[in-house]
Amino acid sequence: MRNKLFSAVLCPVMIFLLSLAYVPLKAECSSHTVDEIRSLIDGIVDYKLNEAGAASVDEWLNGSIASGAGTTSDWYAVTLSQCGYRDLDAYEKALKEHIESNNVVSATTREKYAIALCAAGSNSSYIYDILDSSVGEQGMMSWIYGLHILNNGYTCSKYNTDSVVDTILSMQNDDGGWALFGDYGDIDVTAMTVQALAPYYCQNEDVTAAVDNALEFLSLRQKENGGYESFGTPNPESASQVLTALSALGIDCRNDERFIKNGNNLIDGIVIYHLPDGSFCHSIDGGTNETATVQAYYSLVAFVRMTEGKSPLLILDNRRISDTNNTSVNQAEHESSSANQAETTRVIVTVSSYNDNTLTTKSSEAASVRTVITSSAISGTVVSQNGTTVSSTLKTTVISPHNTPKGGYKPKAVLIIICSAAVISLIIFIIGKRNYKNYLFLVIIAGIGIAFVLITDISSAKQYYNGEKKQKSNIIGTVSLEIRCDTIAGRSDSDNIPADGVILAPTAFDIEQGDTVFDILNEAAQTYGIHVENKGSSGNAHGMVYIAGINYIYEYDFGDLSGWVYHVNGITPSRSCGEYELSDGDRIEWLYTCEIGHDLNEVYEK
Amino acid sequence: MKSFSEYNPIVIAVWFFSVTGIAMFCNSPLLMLMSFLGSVIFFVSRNESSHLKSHLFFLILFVILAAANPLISHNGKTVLFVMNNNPVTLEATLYGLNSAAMIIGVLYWFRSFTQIITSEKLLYLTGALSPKLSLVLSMAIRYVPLFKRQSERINSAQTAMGLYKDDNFIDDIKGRARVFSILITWALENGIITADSMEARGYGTGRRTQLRRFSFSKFDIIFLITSLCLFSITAAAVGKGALSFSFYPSISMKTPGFLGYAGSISYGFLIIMPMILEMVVNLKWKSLRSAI
Repeated sequence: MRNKLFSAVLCPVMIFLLSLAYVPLKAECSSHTVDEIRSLIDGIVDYKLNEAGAASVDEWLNGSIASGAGTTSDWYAVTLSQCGYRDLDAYEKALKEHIESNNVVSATTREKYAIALCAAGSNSSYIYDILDSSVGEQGMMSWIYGLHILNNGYTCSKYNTDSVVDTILSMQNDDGGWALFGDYGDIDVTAMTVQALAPYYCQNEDVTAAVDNALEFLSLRQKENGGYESFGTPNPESASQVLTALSALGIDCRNDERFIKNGNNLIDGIVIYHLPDGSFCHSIDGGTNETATVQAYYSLVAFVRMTEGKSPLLILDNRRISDTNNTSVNQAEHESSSANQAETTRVIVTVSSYNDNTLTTKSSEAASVRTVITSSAISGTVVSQNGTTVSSTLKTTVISPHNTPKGGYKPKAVLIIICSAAVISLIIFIIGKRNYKNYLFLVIIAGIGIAFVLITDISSAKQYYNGEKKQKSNIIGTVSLEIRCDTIAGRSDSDNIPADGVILAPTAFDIEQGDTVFDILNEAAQTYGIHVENKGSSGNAHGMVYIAGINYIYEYDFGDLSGWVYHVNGITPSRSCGEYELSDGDRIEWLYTCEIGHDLNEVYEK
Repeated sequence: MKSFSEYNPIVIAVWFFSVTGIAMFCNSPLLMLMSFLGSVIFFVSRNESSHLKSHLFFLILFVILAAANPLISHNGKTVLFVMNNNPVTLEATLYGLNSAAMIIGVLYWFRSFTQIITSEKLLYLTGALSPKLSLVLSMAIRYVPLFKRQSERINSAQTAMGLYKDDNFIDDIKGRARVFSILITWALENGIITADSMEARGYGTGRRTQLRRFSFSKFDIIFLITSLCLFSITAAAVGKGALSFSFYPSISMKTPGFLGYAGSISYGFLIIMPMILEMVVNLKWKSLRSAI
């Protein structure tokens, strides 16, 4: 309520100040007023209300948002919570049920749930509990998400914000960007990293330098229309992430020369994907895209919150830190920071510099580390993240993580076979069938049995799908693996086909000498609990293997010419996946085809 | 009132093909269980304690069929264990059990079928279509028991000559292979001799006719109409998908509506119909005997 009142008072004041300070200076820029942005946000909300068949936002919250908890609606819940809708009890309850009924193997998904619980105002200990086992467990994204949770004031025993920030900085590429894999920065990942690092921008010199490099990288890659391209495709999602990142840093993208190209700013780059019904599309002339819509939604909210000087998108207004001795401090801090917002806003809008903000932050540094983080975060950073693609990876996981080491059942099995052969030969001896050929026959049978035991490799479901990255000793590089079924997304009402077609978003894997595409696919299956069925001699080093099904989607499910194929670096190899040896930086895609590969962009190997 | 095997062969054949047809084109576990139990009980009630060794063979076949599916197909969400990077799942195991029940059930139905439909009845059934076909069929079916008898003869001859040792497995297998080889040679020779012999007796010289000594009685018509009605109800339920059942990726069953229940009940009734008939005839026979 308090925040609402403040924002109601602040908004006109701020718009007035903005118009005074900037409009004459930047007359050549297409200026999107905050009201225009608000109407865009309302358009998205109206679109979603229509889609959900709800009359009001509260009805939507209790209806399809609660029913989609843990799968589709988490980012809407977080963003709505940050828009002032605090009645998220139904969603919180549904999300807790979802977490209890599913063993979440993916570290980033656990972190996403923690953020959503936090936004719902939950006191759940889940948020603390998962930190130790999740931060940094799944590469770049898990560091970023982990840092977001730590930014909200939660703590864990293994990491603190300093150590996580240092790790993230050490992962920066030479070009100033960050990426899930490889040596070249990726727009989305870089923008998301900047969002997480933003609270430390003026506190830590290393962060300042790193973020400045990253901004230079992002500025260089911006296109003439103000938007961005990712993997060669112009799309609104990358621009949304950059907008969220800039808003997190308190930079108004409408006025920063670095992010205005040819008179177009970032918001122009997003708005061109706006559809008449309020939603957003992924490519110009395309239809409504869920990922594009949700990312546009929270990035615009992040932008508006920045202009209002409100606490950032993922520094959650609704959070309740359950630590008893800190509750009162936080409460007091919360109120004082709310009161500070009036000044902070003016500081951002008029001076547009960050040093002053940091000063106000440091004044409250007397309290614990936790409160410092809280206040620094509130002083003007908007943090957001790209979760939709990652969240779709593991909806169907049924297997729980387990830590027991692999049991050596083979010696026992061989011993049992030998013992029973000995017992049978004794019986043959006693009943008098003492022909040497009987013993010969028994030895042959036992030999076949032992060979069978040795070539099969049986492990229990818990051991196999342990949810942990394989420990490798001689790492020669990193590859990325992606599993998609775009060609059939939406063509069947099966639960196994994700709406956006992404079964596994690009994920980095370490490789050893001689690792094949098949090995990495199996590693992904083990780590993320994805169902994979192979046929052929997978046992030996150069196996002729065929992948019959992934994630319960099988060959022939969509016609006689359908099945799974793989591309490496965009090229279709004419070899079995068990024979393709990987090298550093390779990009593997597993794709579902309905026309023996002709519906994919095939480039054959020479 | 007459015993089931004394009904008109057309009625018996229609009943058999209704029962096995439904069993072969439906995957509902309930119908499979009915068909499997019904076929075994029907066969055992007709043969009582004979054929014990063959039951053992079918039991082993059942286990192999049920176990093969989870080792070949790895679809399914409930993973039991993982073998060579392939999950072995509960759903695939249940699917294997279901299809094994279907196959063994149909095999048992046809075992009873061959006992009831003798070669004479088979000639009557197929003779209406083509007398030549019926001759070929009855001759082909004759070969199964013929070979069995012949292999026993060869076996005893080999043993008598001292060429057959069965004190160790390897020689046992070698001996059986030799018996098999001799049997094949004999079968080819026998085929030529049969053909020559038939030609010498004037087969194929004129148009073949056939004797029809089976007629339709009141009971035949009642039985035929009842079984066709029950079959069409079940077929409608199966065809409309009211009994659809899917194993992969997780077991899901459509809630059976009225049609589903009607289909299951009528299939159950179709299966026990001849058994009830036999029971009634037996009781009547006993009461008639006790009255003497």
